[in-house]
Amino acid sequence: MNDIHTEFEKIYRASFPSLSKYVLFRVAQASDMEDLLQNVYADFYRNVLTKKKDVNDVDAYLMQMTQNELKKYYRFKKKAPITLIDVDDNAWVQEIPDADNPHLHVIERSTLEGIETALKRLDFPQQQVLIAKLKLEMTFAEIALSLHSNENTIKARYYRALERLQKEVDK
Amino acid sequence: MDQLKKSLGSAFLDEDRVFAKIEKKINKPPRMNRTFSLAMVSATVLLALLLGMARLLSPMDVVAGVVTVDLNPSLRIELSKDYTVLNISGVNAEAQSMDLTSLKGLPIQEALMEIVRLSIEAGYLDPLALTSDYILITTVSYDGNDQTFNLDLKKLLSKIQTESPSLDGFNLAFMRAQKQDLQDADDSDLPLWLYLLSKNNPDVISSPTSTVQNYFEDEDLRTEFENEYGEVLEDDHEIDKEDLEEALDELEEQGVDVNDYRRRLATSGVDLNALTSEIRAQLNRIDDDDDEEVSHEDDENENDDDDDDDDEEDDD
Repeated sequence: MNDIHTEFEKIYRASFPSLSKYVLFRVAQASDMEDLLQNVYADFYRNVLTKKKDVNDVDAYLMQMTQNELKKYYRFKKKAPITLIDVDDNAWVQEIPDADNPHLHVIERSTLEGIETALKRLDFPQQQVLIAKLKLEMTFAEIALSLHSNENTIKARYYRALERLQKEVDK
Repeated sequence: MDQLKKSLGSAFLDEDRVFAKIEKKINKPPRMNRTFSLAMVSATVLLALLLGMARLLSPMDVVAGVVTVDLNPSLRIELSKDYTVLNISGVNAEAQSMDLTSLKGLPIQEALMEIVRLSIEAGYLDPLALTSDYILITTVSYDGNDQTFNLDLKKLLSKIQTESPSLDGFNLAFMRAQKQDLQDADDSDLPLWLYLLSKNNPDVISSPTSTVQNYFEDEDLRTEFENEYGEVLEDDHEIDKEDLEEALDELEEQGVDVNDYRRRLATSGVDLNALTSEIRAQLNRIDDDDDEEVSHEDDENENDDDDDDDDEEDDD
C-alpha cells in the first residue's frame, strides 16, 4: 500500500498544476474547484492504482476523468458548461506593471489573513483572474483564450479585481 | 506582490490542503464496496407531529415533525410547521462525519436534495440515471386521525422526483407508520423501515445489513409492499444519449473498453433500448466483481485473524 501511496503522490504533484488550471475556468464558484479535483484524484486512486489497472498515458487519463467529473458537475448543478458573457467595451486597456500598481501597494501592506478574507469576498470571475494571473502565472492572452474572451476584457477585470480587493482590505 | 500571492495560494487550490482531503476521502470505503453498492439507495423519512408545546414558542420555531432519513448515513431532522429544517443530527458514525450545518433553515425538499448530494459525494449513492435506486419515505403522524400532514408531505416530496433532474434514476416509495412503531423500532435497535417491513418477513430482512435496494429488487417483496404498505412512484425519466454517455464514462473509468458502445451510440437509428440494457448489464457486472473482491478481502482478513489466533495459542 505504501508503494501505491508514494506513486499516487508523485502523480498528484506532477499533474495538479495542469488539472487545477483546467478546472479553474470551468466551474461556477471557487469552492467547486477543490471538490471536483478531490473526486477525480480519489477515483483515480481507487479505480486505477489500487486495482493496478494499466494506463498508458496517465496525464491524458486524468484529464479524461476530469472532463467526466465536470459533466456530472454540470448535471448536478443544473448548469450548462460555463461560458463567459461580458460587457466588452473593446477599449484598449493600458497594462500597468504590477510594481507600479497603487492598489497592489496598499494590499501588500496588509496581513496574509486580511488579504485572504478580502479575496473570499470577491466575485468568482475576479477571483478566477487573480488566481490565473498571480498563482498560475498565466498571461492575459492565455487567460483570455481559456475563458473564450478577449485580452482587454481580462485586463480590465484584473485591474478592477485589484481595486476591489484594496477596498475590501481597507475595510 | 508576495503577500497577495501567498494569500492566493492558501485561499484557493492549495496543493497540500487538497492532498490532505483526498487522503481522508480515499481512506473511506469506496462506493462499490459499500453494502448498498452500485444503484443502492435506502432512505426512510420519518415524520412525527408534536403537539402541545407550540403556544410557548413562535409557530416557526416549534417542532412540528421529525424526519428520519435512513440511508447509510442515518439522520434525524426536526421540522417546523412549514417543513423547514430546525435541527439535524447524525444518528450513526457515517452521518456524524458529514457536515450537516448547512441544512438547517432549508425547506425539507432542499434538505433532502442536499442529503442526496452529500451521499453521492461520500460514495453511498450512485448518480447514474441508468442505475435504478430507491428512496423509501416513511411518515408518522402523532395525531393518528390527521393524515393531512402525511399527504402534504408526500405531495411535496413527490414533486422533487419530477422536477429535479438530479433525481433521474431514483424511484420514490412511500409508506406510513404509527408513533408507537417509532418507539418499538428504537427499542429493537432497528431502523424504522427495517422494523416495519420485517414484521411480515423476519427471515428475509431481519439482518441489520439488509438494504432497501435488496428489498425492492425482490419481485415478491415489492408486490407485497405495494399491496400492504405503500406506494412506489417509478422514475419516469426517459434514458437519453447523454445518460448513456455518462454511464460509458463510468465504465471507461473502471477499465472497460467502451469503444464499440460509443460507436453504436453515435450511429443514427440505433436501438437505444437494447443498448441501454447492454450497458446496464456491464454496470451490474462491475458491481458484482467489486462485491466479490470485498468478499475475498473479508475472507482473507478472517483467515489472517484465524492465523493470528492460532499463533497466539501456540505461544501459550
